[in-house]
Amino acid sequence: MSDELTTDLRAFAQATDRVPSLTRTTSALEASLASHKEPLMSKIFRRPLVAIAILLLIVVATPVAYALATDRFHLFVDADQPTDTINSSLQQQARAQGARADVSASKDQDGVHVQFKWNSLKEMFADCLDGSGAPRAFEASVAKDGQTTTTALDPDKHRKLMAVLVEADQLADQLHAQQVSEDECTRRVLALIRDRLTALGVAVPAATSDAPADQVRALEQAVQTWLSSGTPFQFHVGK
Amino acid sequence: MAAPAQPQELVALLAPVHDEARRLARRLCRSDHEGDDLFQEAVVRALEKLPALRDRELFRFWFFRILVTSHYSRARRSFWRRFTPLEHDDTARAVGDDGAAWAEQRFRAARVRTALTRLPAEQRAAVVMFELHGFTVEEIATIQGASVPAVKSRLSRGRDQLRRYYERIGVSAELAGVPAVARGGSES
Repeated sequence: MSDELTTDLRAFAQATDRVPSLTRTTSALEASLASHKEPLMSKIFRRPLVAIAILLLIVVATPVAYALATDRFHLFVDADQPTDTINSSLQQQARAQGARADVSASKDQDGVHVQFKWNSLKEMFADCLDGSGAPRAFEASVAKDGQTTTTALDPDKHRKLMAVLVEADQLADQLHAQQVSEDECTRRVLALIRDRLTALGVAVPAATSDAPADQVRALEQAVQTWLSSGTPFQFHVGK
Repeated sequence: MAAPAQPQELVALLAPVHDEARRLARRLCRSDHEGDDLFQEAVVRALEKLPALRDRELFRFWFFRILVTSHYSRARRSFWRRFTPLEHDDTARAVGDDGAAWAEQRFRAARVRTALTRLPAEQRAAVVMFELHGFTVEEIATIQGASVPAVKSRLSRGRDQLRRYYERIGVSAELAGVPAVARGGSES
């Protein structure tokens, strides 16, 4: 074979040639499609009378909804309960408050840690920032041995971190639009985050290697130390 | 206002292009699992948009366009996933009793998939459709909603980046001018 890339592409084509047949997957597909909810707007515009009612309801409800949406996240943790019970309770509380994060708790000798996980920065921003771009307060009340302590995430640090991440996300979108390669995009975005954090006084340790995953680990570790000292919160972005 | 599409109608239209579309979805993604998610997302979008498709004869390109657009959206919103390693090496499937050949195919397929995932989404889609699916440049332009020169530029830049990646890892690569490997498609 004249060149490796062509041979690799041929191997890739061969390796990915077999896919589940439609016959085999039709039932699953139909079930998935049948359960797919019709988009709200098309439902509204197909039924004009209902539309008026719904739109009016939205208008009337908006100030209330806005107030709820900008309210702080407050989670209650009964540290005397088993971790499974705490987790299930936290998930219910987070869902009830409209959080997109996957919230869980872990216990160690230092106490209880509440962890928020997001699958993307956009999801994280939706939870952490209100409509005006201000950080939403995160509070947790931890009850242990009959005593309850409430702690909150430092709003100033929270705001600064969000500003860095918003800037990083905008840079990534910009580079993507310019069709800059993934490697270059990753390099520049990570460099920006590191620079901005260092400027904020965050001590970012040296990464164990140049690999992006290792660099992200170092950044996360630095943010973790900076942000969550004295609070039960832990932040982690990614999967 | 058009009536909503029925899932059965979409499944019937999808049948002739299902395998090809599913392969494309998997080849655009970091793993088969992600490709199946992408395919599913495109199917749901297609169901929403199907009432607006007047000529059912155009379904094939119409659906590929939805698939590719969904791929762009996923690529943009999963910014942080770029940093995570491949979760499942499910690139290759067993190809018979020849263990050495299977291992080599597995290695080669994983290597080029890694290289492809480093390309921007538009370039990746253009390269995969041209090199692995045999689409012509004009067909890719229709699917991507781009001009023919833009697609040629994406192919050229994509190949350059693939070549540079192979050079970086110490493997020789000369892709430019090599006909598409899957269906013998040619660049006009």
